[in-house]
Amino acid sequence: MEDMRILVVEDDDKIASFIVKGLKQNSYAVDQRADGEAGLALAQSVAYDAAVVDVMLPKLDGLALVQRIRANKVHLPVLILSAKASVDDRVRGLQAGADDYLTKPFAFSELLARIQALIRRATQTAEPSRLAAGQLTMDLLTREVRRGGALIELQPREFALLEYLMRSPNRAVTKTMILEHIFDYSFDPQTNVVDVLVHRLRNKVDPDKTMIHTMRGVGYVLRAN
Amino acid sequence: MFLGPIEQIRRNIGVRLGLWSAFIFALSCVALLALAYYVLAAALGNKDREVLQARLREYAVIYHNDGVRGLRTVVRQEEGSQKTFFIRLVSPWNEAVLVSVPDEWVTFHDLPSGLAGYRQKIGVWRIPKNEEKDFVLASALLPDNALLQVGRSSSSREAVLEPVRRSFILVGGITTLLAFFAGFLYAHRTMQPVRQIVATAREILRTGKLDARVPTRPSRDELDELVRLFNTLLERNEALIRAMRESLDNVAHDLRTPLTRLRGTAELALQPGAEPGAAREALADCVEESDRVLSMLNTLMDISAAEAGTMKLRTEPADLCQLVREVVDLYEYVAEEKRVAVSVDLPPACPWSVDRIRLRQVFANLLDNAIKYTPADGRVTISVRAIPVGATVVFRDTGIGIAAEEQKKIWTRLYRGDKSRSQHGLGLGLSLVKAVVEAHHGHVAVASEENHGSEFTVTLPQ
Repeated sequence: MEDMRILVVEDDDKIASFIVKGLKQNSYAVDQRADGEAGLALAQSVAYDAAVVDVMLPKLDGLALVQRIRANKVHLPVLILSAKASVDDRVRGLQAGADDYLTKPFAFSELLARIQALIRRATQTAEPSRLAAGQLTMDLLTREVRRGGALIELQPREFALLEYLMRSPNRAVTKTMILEHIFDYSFDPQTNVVDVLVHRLRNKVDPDKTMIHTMRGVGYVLRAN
Repeated sequence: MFLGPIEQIRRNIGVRLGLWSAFIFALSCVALLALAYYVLAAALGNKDREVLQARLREYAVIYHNDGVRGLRTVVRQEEGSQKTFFIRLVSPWNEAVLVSVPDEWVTFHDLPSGLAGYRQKIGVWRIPKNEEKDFVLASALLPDNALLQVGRSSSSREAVLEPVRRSFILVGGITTLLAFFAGFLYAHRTMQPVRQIVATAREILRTGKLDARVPTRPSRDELDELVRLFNTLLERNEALIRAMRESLDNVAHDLRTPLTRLRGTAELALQPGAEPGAAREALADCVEESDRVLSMLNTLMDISAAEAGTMKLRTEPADLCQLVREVVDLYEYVAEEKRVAVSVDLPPACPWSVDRIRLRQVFANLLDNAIKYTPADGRVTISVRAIPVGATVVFRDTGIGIAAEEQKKIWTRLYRGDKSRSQHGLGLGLSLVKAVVEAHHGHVAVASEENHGSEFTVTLPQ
């Protein structure tokens, strides 16, 4: 993870600085440019591990930028940022050659998780068969979860959520991400089904509430200590 | 669009069609009259020819049988009774052997080439005498090389044909003029709907008033169809623009309240002397509130789009039962925590063509409400039924119910009933349900009794 380098092409100062700061805190090296042409020049001269590109950019817009990158056969995972939320816009972004698409406004944790997923896919990190966090261990083959040696019975959804949290320990996971990942739902149900699921999981694996923490306004985090 | 008067007339379809019809009429008139004229002229000539040739034959027979003497006797006899034919017999040596000249033929002059010249002019030919009369002379060569000539004076072809020609021109001219005006008037009348469409379109462009319509006529021809379609188009545009304006107003209005809350929270945390811990709380509040604003904005946009008919539905073959099962699965833990029993009553499969994601959202909202307003140990039942006109999905609960006077208002955006105020939610769920179901051309109905439960029925057409 040390030398991962990410290109951010975003013209809004505040959004750019919050992305750059966030990525640096997560120990990525980050370069940022405010227009499409400068972004393209950098993308073609420096080997990046991933790029975050806004759609509305001066000089060269984000979709055209991605197309140019693809035309030059630069293999670079690209995540598109856009204020347009319709399915058609998403499809257009992916057709231009982007690997993922995120709608503004977004939670930084979600952006981070998606970038990590892109890099993981590009580098094809070997799939672990065991996950561990603090006293918790999870065997992905036998689907057994133990806490300090004691077996814990989990229902499929609870297991899926715990696996999701344990795959990115110490990182916030938003409700939207859980909803999409565990329930395959892309919209907000009114009652927070995620709250209920987390509540149940916590009762089973973390009765003294030392591991699964709620971060108000952001989501949940599994602290591995 | 400012054209000179000439250009305007040139572009006027009425004038153009009038001119064309006049042109075609004039052309057919000329052709018809020319034919009639030719036939008449030919008929006139034929009559003279027949009469003269009959005489020629008669005299030739007499000459053949009785010689010059016999012919002279016959001619003398005829001169006594009527002297209308010019008769001349020319010997092979070009001397006039027999001549009978009627009074009318006094002014007749022979050819400059003399009598021998007639040998080259066998047949019938006309020599103009004056404006009203022609000499018509027929010559025939007899077997002994003598030349026999019979002539008579006939009305001039011109004299007969001139009045005909004059009346033809008069009639033709009047017809052509009539054709022009009739064509013009008819085209003008026919083009009236088009002119009205142009006028209406101009008015809309000029004033921006979208309620202008083209007046309709009771007839049912293609142009009236055009007018009707044009009006329908205008109506749809007007409805769409009005709906968009209204929804923009509504969205702006609906967003002010949460934004005020957001701003208030932030401002309060910025007050001097606020605790650092409280500031963190306020920031968390702000993030949550902004998520609410976003979710509200998305839902409002969806409702507006569905209501205005611009929501893009990705209709595909789906299984309603499967969608219901997925939604029940989503709420499994929520229902368990609340100790509400959710049961389904489904046929084995219910294939239907719908937008899966949107309809799942509809079902999720209805189940969400049912669980939310049903106290512990209550029941929620979802059943799917095929009915003759479509399919129904019924959500029945044993919850707190909805007061009769509230039942109509629950579909209104941001309306929260007295009992629902304490519950978490945006007050947009049922509006979205209604809008999405109606975008599928279906409808949704509620039946409820207070303290006994509610029943929401979604009906989807075939």
